[in-house]
Amino acid sequence: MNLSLSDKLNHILESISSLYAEGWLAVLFIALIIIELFLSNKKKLILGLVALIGLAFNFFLIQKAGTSHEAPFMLGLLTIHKGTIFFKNLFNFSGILVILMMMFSGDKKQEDYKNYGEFYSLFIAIILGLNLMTMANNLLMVYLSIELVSITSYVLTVFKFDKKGAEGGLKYLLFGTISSGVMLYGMSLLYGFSGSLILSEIAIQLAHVPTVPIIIALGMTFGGLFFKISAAPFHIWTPDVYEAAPTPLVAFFSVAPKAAGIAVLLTFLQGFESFIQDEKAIIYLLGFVAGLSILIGNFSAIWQKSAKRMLAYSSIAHSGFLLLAIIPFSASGYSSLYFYLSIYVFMNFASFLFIQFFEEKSGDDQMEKMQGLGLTNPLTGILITVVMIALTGLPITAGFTAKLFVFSSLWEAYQNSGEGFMLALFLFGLFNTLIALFYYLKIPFFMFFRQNENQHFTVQPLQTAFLILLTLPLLIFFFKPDLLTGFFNAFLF
Amino acid sequence: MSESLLSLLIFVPLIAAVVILLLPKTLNGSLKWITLGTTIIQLILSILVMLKLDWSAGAPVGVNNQGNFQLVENHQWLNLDLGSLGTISIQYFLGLDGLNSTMVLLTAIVMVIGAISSFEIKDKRKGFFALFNVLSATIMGCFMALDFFLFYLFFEFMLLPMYFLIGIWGGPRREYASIKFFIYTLLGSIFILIVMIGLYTSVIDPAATAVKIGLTESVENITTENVEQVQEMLKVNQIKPENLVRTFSLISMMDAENYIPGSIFFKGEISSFFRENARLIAFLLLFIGFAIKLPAVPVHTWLPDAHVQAPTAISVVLAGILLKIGGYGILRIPYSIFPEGAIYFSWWIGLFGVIAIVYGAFVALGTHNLKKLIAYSSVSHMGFVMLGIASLTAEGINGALYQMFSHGIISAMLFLIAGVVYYRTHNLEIENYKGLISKMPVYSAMVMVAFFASLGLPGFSGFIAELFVFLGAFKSESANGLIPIWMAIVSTLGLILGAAYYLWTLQRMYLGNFWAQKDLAVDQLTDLSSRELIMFVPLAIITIVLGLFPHLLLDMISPSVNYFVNFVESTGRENLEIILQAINK
Repeated sequence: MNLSLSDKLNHILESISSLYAEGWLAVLFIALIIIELFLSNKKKLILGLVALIGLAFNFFLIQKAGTSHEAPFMLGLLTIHKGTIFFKNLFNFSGILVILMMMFSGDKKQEDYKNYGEFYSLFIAIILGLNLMTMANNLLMVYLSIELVSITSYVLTVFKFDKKGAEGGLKYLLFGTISSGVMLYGMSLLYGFSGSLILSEIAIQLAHVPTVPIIIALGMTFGGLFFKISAAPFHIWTPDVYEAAPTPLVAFFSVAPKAAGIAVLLTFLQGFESFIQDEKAIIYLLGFVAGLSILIGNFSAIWQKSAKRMLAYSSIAHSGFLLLAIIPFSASGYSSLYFYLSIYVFMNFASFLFIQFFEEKSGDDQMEKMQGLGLTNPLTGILITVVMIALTGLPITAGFTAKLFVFSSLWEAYQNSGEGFMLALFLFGLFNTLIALFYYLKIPFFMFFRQNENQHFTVQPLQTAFLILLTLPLLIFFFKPDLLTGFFNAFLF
Repeated sequence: MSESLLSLLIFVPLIAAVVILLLPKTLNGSLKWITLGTTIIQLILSILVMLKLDWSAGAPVGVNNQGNFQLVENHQWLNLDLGSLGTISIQYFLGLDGLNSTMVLLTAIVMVIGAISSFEIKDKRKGFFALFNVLSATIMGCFMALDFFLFYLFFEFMLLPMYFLIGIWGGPRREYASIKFFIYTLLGSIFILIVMIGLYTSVIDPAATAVKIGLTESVENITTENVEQVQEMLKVNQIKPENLVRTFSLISMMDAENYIPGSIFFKGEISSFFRENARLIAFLLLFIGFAIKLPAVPVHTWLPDAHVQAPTAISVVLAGILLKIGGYGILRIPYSIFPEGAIYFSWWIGLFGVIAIVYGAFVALGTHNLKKLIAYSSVSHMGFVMLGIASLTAEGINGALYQMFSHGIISAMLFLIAGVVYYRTHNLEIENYKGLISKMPVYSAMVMVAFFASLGLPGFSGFIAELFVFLGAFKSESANGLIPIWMAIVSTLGLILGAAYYLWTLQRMYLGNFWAQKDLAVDQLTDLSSRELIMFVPLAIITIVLGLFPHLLLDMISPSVNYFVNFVESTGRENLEIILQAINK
């Protein structure tokens, strides 16, 4: 864009109307730091409240900014595509859930409040980064927004300030920087091939480049994204980080950055659509990563004793399923992706919320210690069973509907293209449900099948209500999936 | 109320389950009565249903025509808009015909017996009775659903209460048995799910599509011309994809005219990974899925474990009804939707039926545990169901359905028999007992009724069922050439072996002078209590009545079965010809 300075300024000013939400998050980020300075340790709960209200208001801004810019804006750095508003809502919603989880956690010690200010402000920064990720239209912007998310995540991982936290944070940092490096290398190759940083321009230029280097460059770029969505073979950090980080944050990590990574992947894939349609290698790559993630996630999860590690591996498997939803490259595929992600938010937050409650009472998250819990707390037991059934993907939960949609779109892709590859993925994914059943049932198994007279786990009514609120949608969206799909269809079709 | 009679059968137990969960702890003693009351209401309702149904000659027979089902309830449940891919329609669609009405009656009867039997449950009663009621609702739903999604929902959701019922209240190895049961049947469900996804993306609902493209105002005033017009338009690709209404309705799936040209399950020439075999493969997947539930050899191994570990009431339900879902499912889904598979694979189905009959009987002969013996005798008897189905003659399928009903009643009795001993001594090893007849005469009389009924003595329902199956199997070679006569001959071996293991057990455990292994609580071995007698007597009466007056049941079944056999054979041969032509080209 060869514009004069004043034109550029005008363009930027005009673009701001699409960035209300992001602007507000930046304000919130700074405001939280400043407010924290004036609060004594006891009063730091207020910070949570501020963040909560801030994010609630942000919902309004997201809808308002909406899809006001179809074309790239901010000098081509950002764009709003069809799914952007969905992703932003998802991040914001998950953000609110995290803050609620922080506020709902029971017995806190005085010193825990000490770092609340930093926690909340950094957390808002992650959401800001995630929002930017979904809008990025320029390699630099992609990289910057991913790093904004990553660096804040590294810091927040160690927020328990214990040995485990330090270990997890360090692992996260090391793996993260390496995969960032790989991604950056891939991006530099793309830039070298095309001379442009803007995705749409790169796609045009790539027509003159031999395919093998492009595939290598794209593959390396995707590596960084696979790291963010913890897809195999870039998943190794996941269990350690999940074990180390504060539980509310883990719930967030298992959902939001994953969704954002998928969103960036979608931006890339849609940008290079014509290239990918001709050259199936990228789809095979995605299929391979998806299959591997499902396989590794499932088989590793079977052996876990800690609930958090089990869910970490389960989240790896779920990344695979999310990738399966992308592979068909169809409207129904995207619709199933959004459905899956929405359900995934509820499933994961519900299970981590329970683990948080359990951890506070028993000190750790070993599944064996949940013995007899379902007999002493039937309601909690039933709720968690519903969540686990949903994670497995069985009726009568929306987890089943989500998987059904994903597999239906895969089948349709197979039916339209006649490619055995799609069919193989379809069958592979379906049969993995069987393995998933094995480990998800472990929690209900210990809760109901084993007796334990010394099970003293209790939940307060308010905590139970929170758990119910997260579990109920899993049933409601099974019986009425149109409530959700109607929302996507409004902007998908 | 009569319009929603079928729904009541599903929702009454569900409501009971909720009530049970909400009752305070102090009322725990009343839970069993609530459950019993619920099952009795269900029984009364199902008898009402039977009376409401039209059994006169020329009455609607169902099978593949929506208008011919009785007591139909059809409500739109979901209409998912998929943009350029049209809409997906899921219906709350229940209905009865000759294939499932007897199963509904059987379910109601066995659930009452199960409820009485669960009076023995002493701990965690709230959970038990709530799950029991949920189980009852899902089984009913499974038998009546005519929408694949609805069917699948009940079929798969059934596993959960069963898993917990076996896993929490079962015997020493319950944990292993329950997860094995769950994994096995889930594997079967996945096979079914694969085909379900393929089917609903291939099949349209002509009536709803007609409304969508504006041929008519609403689904209610649709005419056959409209439907034919839509099917014609579909054939020549005149309907825009966004106007197609894809459906889960089993009835729509049975009509080859409703398949979208080019979709995987469209019969005839298509290019796909499966090539032209797709429909045959789909048949096979569905068949395996249901065969696991039936269970057929070699996928039967979950059954003995589940049975031996399950509490008596659950064994009764498992053997009495759950296995029948496998047999019923085979008739309703793979046979009706992919009839060519029924022709193409009949030899193999017959073979596996024979293997099940003989193998099950041999293992039963060799086993030392009474419950295991009964479990394997179930495997053997379900083999008759498979053989009857494979013969694809009216006799054979009548026999299969009769066998399902009869075995439901008899196996309920047999597991009660095992339960009586287990409840008293917690030991079921056959060689630990001798001459029980002198201590427990009434009980032993019931044992004899059940054993003789099960081994197929004339005068009991088992005899009629097996007789019809053999008639079908022997006739098949000359009538339709599907299964060879040697299969029928070999399977008669099952009868002899059945007599052998039952009579031998009778001799070992019940006849002669009383003796029991000394570690056992011998003084506990008292004769039947009146509660137990109440369970045995009606079952014994039913099996004798059905043995003497087979027309009671056959009148209900056979009109539909005759129609079904004609439908499956004619469309099956027609489709198979097209498919084989395409393959050979």
